[in-house]
Amino acid sequence: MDQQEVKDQILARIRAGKPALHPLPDVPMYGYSGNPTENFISHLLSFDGKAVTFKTRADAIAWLGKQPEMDASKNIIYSSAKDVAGNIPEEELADLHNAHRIETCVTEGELGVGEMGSIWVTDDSLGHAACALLSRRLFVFLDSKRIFGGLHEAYANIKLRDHQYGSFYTGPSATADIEAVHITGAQGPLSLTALIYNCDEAPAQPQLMVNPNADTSVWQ
Amino acid sequence: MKIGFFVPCYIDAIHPQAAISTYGLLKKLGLDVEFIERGACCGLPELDMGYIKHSCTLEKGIAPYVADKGYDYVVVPSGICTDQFRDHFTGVEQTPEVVHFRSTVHDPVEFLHDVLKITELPGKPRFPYRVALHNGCHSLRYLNEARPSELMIKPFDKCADLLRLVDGIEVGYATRRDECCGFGGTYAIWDPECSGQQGRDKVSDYTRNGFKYVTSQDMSCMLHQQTIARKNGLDLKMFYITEILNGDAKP
Amino acid sequence: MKQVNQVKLGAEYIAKRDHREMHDRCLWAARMRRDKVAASIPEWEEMRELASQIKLHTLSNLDKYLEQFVANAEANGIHVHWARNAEEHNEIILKIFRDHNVKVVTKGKSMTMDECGMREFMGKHGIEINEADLGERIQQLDNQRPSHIVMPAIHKLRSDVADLFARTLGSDKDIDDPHYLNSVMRADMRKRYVKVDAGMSGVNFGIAETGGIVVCTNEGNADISANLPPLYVATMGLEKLIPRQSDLPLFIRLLSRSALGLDMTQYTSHYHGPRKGQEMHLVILDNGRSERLAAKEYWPVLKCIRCGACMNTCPVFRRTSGISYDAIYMGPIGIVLEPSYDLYKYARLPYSCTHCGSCGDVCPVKVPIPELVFFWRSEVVRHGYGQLSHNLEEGMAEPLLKSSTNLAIAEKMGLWALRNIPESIAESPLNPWAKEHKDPEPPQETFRQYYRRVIKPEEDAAGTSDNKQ
Repeated sequence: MDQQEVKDQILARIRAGKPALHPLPDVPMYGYSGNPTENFISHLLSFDGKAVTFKTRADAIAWLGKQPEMDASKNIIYSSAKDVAGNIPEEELADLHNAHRIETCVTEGELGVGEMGSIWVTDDSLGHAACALLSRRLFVFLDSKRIFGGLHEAYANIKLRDHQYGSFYTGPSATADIEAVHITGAQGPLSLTALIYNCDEAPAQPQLMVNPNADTSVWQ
Repeated sequence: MKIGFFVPCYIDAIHPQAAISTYGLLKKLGLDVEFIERGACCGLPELDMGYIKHSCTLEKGIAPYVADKGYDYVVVPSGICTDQFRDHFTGVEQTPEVVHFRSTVHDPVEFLHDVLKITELPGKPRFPYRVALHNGCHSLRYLNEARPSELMIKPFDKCADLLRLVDGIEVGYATRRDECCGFGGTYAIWDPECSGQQGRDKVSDYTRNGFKYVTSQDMSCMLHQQTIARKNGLDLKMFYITEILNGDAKP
Repeated sequence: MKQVNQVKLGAEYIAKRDHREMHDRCLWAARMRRDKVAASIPEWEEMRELASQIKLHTLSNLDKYLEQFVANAEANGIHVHWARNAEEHNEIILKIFRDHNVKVVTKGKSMTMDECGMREFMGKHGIEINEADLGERIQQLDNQRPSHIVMPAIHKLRSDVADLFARTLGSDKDIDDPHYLNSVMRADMRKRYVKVDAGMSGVNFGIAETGGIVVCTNEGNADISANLPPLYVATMGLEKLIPRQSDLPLFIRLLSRSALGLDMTQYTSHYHGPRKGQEMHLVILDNGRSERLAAKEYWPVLKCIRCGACMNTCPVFRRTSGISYDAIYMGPIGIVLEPSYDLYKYARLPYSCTHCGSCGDVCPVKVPIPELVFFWRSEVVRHGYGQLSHNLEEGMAEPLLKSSTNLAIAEKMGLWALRNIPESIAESPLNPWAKEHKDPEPPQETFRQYYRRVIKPEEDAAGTSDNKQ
């Protein structure tokens, strides 16, 4: 039987047997109480993500440049941020399987969600998504003015259909599949650091905020 | 107000004190109570096992005695049987009498708390002990007598409200306050290992928290837990709630 | 074919004390986390009701939404396939793989593909499917089905995993630190990602309005599988649709909080077509779903979004583990879903329930599991698949219980037995109750007897009794 016939048969079965129509309710735009940026940071930390706040994007770039992960002589770096340089040649990424060699990935978050500490990234902001997924250390820029309180509001500001791939990243890759022990770095990045700029309340000296109970096993 | 008093078979045979205390309490409250002597099984065990035909036969057998006698309320000292009448008594014709019966059948907790709305107990009962309250699953989730811990609604607990009318009592809970104890009607016979494990976990939760007395609005849970406690040599005594409310509970 | 005996398999797990206690502790902790995060959302119960309504609506209009979804998905560049059953599903994917000369596949977790036996099928055709989710990978290496919808290996102790990895991945068998075990798996998976030809995943939600799919994982395994190789194949049960993008946040807010008590899955990913140079295929699977939709007694079971909250709260599941259900879908949702696939084989599953009702209360889309348990038990009996012991017991119980005279006699016999049968017999293996319980202290008399002996004469004397039955 060809695909059209199979499709018609399945749909016909559904039409014949489906229950009487139930009404479709509207979904209210539920908010989330509290300061979006503060909520964002505390939730991201609860997922073992890290965060630093900056007054300006330039401050963020300056701080990032001093991190050991960004030492281009020691690390393979991929950056999809226009104002941060990577060192992996683009032609090497013609075969994405090479992305597993990347130590550090720098990328752009399009918006944040206070309710969960999630960062919305897309094929536009990520460049090659595989690089963000296979790198060991992930740094994500996020404009504090683009952090929304709740998830409903965040989705209202996203056009899903414009992106082949769009995802909320909420902390580094994690698993709890063995005796429910929380482990970061299951398949993807071992760490995710949000670089939150345009943050008026940022301290003069940038402070890396981490979850004091974060997973810091030697096996990472 | 004419009250029919229906005594479930397992209460009648295994723990009649639950019925004696409930009957006594209703009488002390000055109510016109009539024991439904012709009452028999409500059909719950059959329904529980999926034998709808059988449960219908049983329902038809007792409907005339519970529904057609002009009772304003029928009180049943058992949460599971009350729920059977209210939510599952569909094997008989739904006459106006049956509909009335199903909407006015109550277990003692609902009857005292919601219908009579009592604020004091007759005879000033006293029970100066710490008592663990076990809200039976049926009373909790089908009769809505307390907030199940997983529902995000305003907390309430009708049993605790009533127990606090008893002089000197301290009402507490197991750590897993409303986890099922594993009785589950025919389940305890069908799956003795798991039912028993649930029961052991439940009674050891009480002893870990230093309880010696336990009460519930569901005697079936109490019988299950009491016999497991005995088998495991634990010093725990279980009461049906009206035994405490009527001052009949002996420490 | 043999009936699945959850009671027997469950008893084996109960007997393994370390396993049982770990399993119960981990899942209860998930339930407690769930309570905590749910309590942080003031509109939680309202959201459950809305999610339920949206699912009921979508299912009652499913043909329209499927057509809308497929039209949009195809416009997005997704190749959409339809499969009536597991065999068609597997054949469709095999053909795609052959067309692309696929040898190595990495795969995110998918209950729907498990339902089709897809991995075993591909294995027979020489295609290497590597489960990329840690728990699922553990189960694959151990040739065992997942024991939980979202925590596939939660029934295993760390030492079990250490033994397994030592045997299959060459790890140090003396190190059972879960971090070490994870690093072993990670290193092994990296070797496979390097040569992966195709990625696969299941689907959490399909959005009719946008023609895209949503896949939620914590490890990012589905994301790697979808974004790295030049071919991505996903399978979606046809009940997974929601109408609009604006419905999605409701479900996302409920899903991970219900499943693990976490505010979000680490990777909540949306696919609306292939990336440049990639091909993306989506197989829409029926496999009995359209039949279920037509069953007026149990079609709401199709609302299930596969979060596993019912398993975490179930007092039976926590003590017996998902392995004891010997089925694709386990726990409360399993016992009301599996009988619709094969009533005889799974006839005993609906009895693995104490009627505590907690599963219905934690379900984020209000699947009426407790009611469905009653329904399936009556179906089992109606088809004559009840246990012999049930039939015997019930055959006796009916005439016994239907009149109060017989009841009175039965009670007397019962009381006599309680008092007079020696413990050695009462506690024999023939009496299942005695395995765990000590018989109750026999009362001196029944309530009926007490009523006639004490109450009635007193009331007659006082002139207060009007009981003339």
